[in-house]
Amino acid sequence: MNIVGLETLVFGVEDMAAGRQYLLDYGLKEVEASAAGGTYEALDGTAVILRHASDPGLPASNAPSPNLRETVYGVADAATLRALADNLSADRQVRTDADGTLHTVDDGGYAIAFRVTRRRAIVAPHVGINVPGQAPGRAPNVCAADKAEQILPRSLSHVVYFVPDVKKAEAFYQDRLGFRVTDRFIGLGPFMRPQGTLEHHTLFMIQSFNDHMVGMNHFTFHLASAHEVLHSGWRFAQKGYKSFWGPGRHIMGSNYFWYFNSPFGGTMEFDADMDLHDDSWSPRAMPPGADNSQIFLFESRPKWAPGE
Amino acid sequence: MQALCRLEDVPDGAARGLLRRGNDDQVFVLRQGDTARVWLNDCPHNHRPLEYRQDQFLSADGLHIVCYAHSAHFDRHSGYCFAGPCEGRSLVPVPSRIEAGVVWIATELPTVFD
Repeated sequence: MNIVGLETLVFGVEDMAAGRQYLLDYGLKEVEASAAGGTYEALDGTAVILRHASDPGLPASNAPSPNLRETVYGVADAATLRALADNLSADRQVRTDADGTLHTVDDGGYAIAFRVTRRRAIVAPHVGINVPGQAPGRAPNVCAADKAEQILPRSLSHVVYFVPDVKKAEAFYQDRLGFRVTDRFIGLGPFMRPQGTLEHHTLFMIQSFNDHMVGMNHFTFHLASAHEVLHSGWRFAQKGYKSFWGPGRHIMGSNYFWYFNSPFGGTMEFDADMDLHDDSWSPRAMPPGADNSQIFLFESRPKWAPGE
Repeated sequence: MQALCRLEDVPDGAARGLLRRGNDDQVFVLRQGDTARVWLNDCPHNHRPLEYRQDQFLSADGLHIVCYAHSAHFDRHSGYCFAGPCEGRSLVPVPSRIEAGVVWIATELPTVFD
């Protein structure tokens, strides 16, 4: 199954104005807005869609509102879409909408959908770093530290679910959609990637330990670099948004992270520089906990200079 | 005792984070008319601050206290978590009294172990 990754995440929210402002401050571009909600895009066209939680056009919720209501995957071509429809309609209801998007529900209770990807090539300035012994990443006279720099999220990266039965949910993504397990937190859940991408994970699932650990845990877009994670997170915190965890760097996936509380039912992360894996990779398994969750962790602090 | 804020500094029905230490407000106060309740800004789930943005501690309809990390919902009068990952646990109340329009709390805050 040539699924290339996340295409859009659709949220049902209670406070549309707050959600909209949050996504604009995060750096996404509003490409459509109406009384029904709005669409907020990264550079490659992947997006978050906001709708009122009461919108009858949304799939049924599996968690209290606000929360994620549908995860839309991009697939490589129409043949993949047909194969998915044939496969999934064997044991569940599959609906095709006017756009040709397939809608169904996974074995963790999450509404999922598939469409031929509309991802665009990313047009953005080259991001380079200067490393002794390697060709320069930036031309002479190009300054990397720019207070006024514009940082635009590049691509929708991954989503994380609480699930009632992680083994069952993992089996669905592996056996029915062809996802690979790249790594695993023992007793918690797997990091998974679809076959159409080498990225360490587009999906991570966490076993719920009570009936109230439900819905989305977090989601994120990829930024260009660790620098952009730090600078975007810094600016976000200056606007009053509340850091949940970070900045730091994960071990599984190696992605730099900075998580913030959000009005979407879980946290929203800034992420960059994730590992790539192919089918020759053997999944690792580690016990969860602080030591295996990050290789280092920092916390922002007010600006300071010697002498002050 | 320490003066936390004037009651009129908090819009009626709303919440406000106070006692900044480092990046986070240690407590938040909820005003209802002439009364106020003060809570430690510490979600029993992950022991992190609740709000998603400065002073944004309540659900969109203002009826509940919400932790915007993983959507734990708390009764705004009792602090009891009735939905979310720490369901059945409670926020830590900070005893307070109002005198001449000023909200007072103890100099030493309670801890999550109290």
